[in-house]
Amino acid sequence: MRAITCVRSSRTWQKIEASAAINIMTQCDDIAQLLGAFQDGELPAHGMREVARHLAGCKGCEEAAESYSAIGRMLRDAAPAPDLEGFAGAVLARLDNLRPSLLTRFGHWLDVRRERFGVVTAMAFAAAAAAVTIAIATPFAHYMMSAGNRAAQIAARDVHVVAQQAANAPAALASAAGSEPGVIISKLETSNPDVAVWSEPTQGTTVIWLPDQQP
Amino acid sequence: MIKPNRQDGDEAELIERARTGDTGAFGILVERYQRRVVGVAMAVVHDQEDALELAQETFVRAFENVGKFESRSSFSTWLYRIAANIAIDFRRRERRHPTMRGDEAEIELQRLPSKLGDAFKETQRGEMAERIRRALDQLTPEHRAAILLREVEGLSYDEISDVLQCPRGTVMSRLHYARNHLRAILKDLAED
Repeated sequence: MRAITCVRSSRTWQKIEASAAINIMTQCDDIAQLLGAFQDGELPAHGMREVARHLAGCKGCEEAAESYSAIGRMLRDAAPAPDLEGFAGAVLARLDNLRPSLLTRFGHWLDVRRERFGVVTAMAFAAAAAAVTIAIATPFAHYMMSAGNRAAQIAARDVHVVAQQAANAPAALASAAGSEPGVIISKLETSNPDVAVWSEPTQGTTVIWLPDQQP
Repeated sequence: MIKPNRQDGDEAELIERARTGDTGAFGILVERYQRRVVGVAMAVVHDQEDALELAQETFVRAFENVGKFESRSSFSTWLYRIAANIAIDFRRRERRHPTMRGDEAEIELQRLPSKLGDAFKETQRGEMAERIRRALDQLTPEHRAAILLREVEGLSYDEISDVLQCPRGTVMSRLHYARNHLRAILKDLAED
């Protein structure tokens, strides 16, 4: 028996497959490449004829072909039979938990009503559904817009107050330093105009001052 | 590529109903293709428990995407392609060699359908199945998938090419390599 160990690239296989259709092949090596496809009935008609003719006169290739068949049978016999009891039920249970898209559900809903009541009634249902949606959505949208405006007004007012306090901060600091001997404004450490920092060297304390809290 | 395939009348209707979200209709399709879909997943991951889970996932994904199915190709091939993609992704994600784990291998052997009453022959059969399983484990996942899809699932070369998304010539070369490899390992069994 001849050993069949040649591994060829996909392109080579395509060439071999094509050549099987036009060439007369008598070499066992060439035939060996085609034995599997021959047994699978996957060669073109000319190739099938050539391989069959070769096998009729070559015991080695015939045995190789038979061993391929035997391997196929063994694989089928040894293949485990999966236990599919309850499989479809499990799939359907998962499908029931799926939430279809809004569009799909609306389409399905419309289809059911169309079947049941006819096109005109279904359109009326759809129009009614749209009207209800608008009736619910419009006050909500109005509320959201007015809430947004109120938030903007509050924010603008707060900005104004903070700016006013920041402008008064240096005067407040000077006043605090002047009224308490020993208190020294060391530095304004932050770029934030709303915060000031000074130290009291005799007691080794540091004070952080915010405009809206009296020190 | 797979030739355009007209759906059987009732299958086309079931697919149409599934498109509208009819799970009952889709359930009939599940019953019809479950064994093959599990077989495709099994050919790629070579583990029955994983294959069953992946097959479930395949049907869920198919149901979600049935609206995108084009009737130019066969529904079964479309399903098998989904199954193969899911199984290949799973294998990549797991990054594990698809060898059967010890306990599962035992269970697997016990599950083999018994056609021989004789205990001795039963043992022989179990040993043979074990040898075949080990021989398959020596193949690369690509070669194993090709040979199992052909020999066990009975897919044509075009179907295998479509499912595994590789050229037909590659399918031929993988099958040739896999057959020779198995033949070399199982020489004594193949010649009995």
